[in-house]
Amino acid sequence: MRSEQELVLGMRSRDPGLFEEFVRRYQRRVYFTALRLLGGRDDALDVSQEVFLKMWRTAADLKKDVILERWVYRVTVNTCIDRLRHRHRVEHRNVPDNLILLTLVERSMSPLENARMMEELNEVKSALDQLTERQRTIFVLRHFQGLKLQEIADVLEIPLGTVKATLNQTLQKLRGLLGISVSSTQGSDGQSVTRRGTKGP
Amino acid sequence: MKFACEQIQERWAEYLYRELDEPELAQFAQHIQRCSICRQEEARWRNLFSRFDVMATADQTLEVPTELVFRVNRQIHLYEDWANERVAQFRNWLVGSLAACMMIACTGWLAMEQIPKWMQLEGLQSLKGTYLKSVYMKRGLEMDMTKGVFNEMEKEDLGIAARDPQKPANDEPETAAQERSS
Repeated sequence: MRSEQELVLGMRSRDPGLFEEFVRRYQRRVYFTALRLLGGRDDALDVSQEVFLKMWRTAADLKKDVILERWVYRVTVNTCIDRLRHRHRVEHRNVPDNLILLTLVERSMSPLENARMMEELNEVKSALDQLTERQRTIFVLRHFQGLKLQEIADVLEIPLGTVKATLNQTLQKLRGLLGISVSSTQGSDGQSVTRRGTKGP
Repeated sequence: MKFACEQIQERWAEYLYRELDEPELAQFAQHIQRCSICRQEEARWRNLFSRFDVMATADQTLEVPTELVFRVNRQIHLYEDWANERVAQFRNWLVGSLAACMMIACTGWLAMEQIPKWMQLEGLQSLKGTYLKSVYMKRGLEMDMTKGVFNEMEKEDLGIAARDPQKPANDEPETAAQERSS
């Protein structure tokens, strides 16, 4: 496996073979970031293709000391935001996600559990759709992609304090949207059960 | 540094994602152990995170569609073909424009060199004479060439040869010419 430096040099010289290696190495990051930001597999695939094509076009202008991961995330986020702004409305797909369902079936879950899981998934997706672009971007990069807050600040080119404050607000908002509260009761088997529901003491 | 509940509220994200420094993380955890309200708050946050576990699990389990690499390669080839075609079109246009400019320049040079000077001069003189005649007519000058109304310069402008006073004019009667000579 080539080092990042070799990849950068290869991309600057527009070597197709090295660029394909770069695509294979970063496609997961690009695709799943786009998937969580846009909410649909078809859009995520289209945007991922567009992201790599943009990077091919500008590869010759790459600086030698570029951090590839940050560049990849920056182009991905900007492309996703452009796509979101061109949409007139965010379509909330209230249909089962077949790939998720396949994953659950492979785990041999019961149909009832599958149905409950799908309902939860749709609720969570709906909550994400109601975030602003910046809130969703920061949350996706931190929670799903595992970037540190400083790295997110570098990718988005905003202050670290803004990232921290926005993430706090986002978590508060998500909690409100999903109606998170804690009310412990004793179940019939003596185990304590944590129940989701309306906000209460 | 000991955390108060108000300070805890502002830094939940950093604590939950383990972005605090070691000393701060220890103080934060200590406060949560002591404070039942903040402990309940932490439970709510863990509940929220668990709601996203399905998505996070899917991201780790699922594969990227295999067609992505194929589509990217195809797009790159199409882009390169398009770019090369544009370069060729521009090159053809540039060569054609240069050739046209050279042809125009050569034609103009040949035109200037090959037309006989007398043709140019005679044409220009004829135009000049026509123009001046119309000017003099507007000024009310009598167009009587035989009487020598015009001075030498005007005659030259009009293309009229100066009349030899000794030579009789064609239209003068012989008697008048004889009288002058005697």
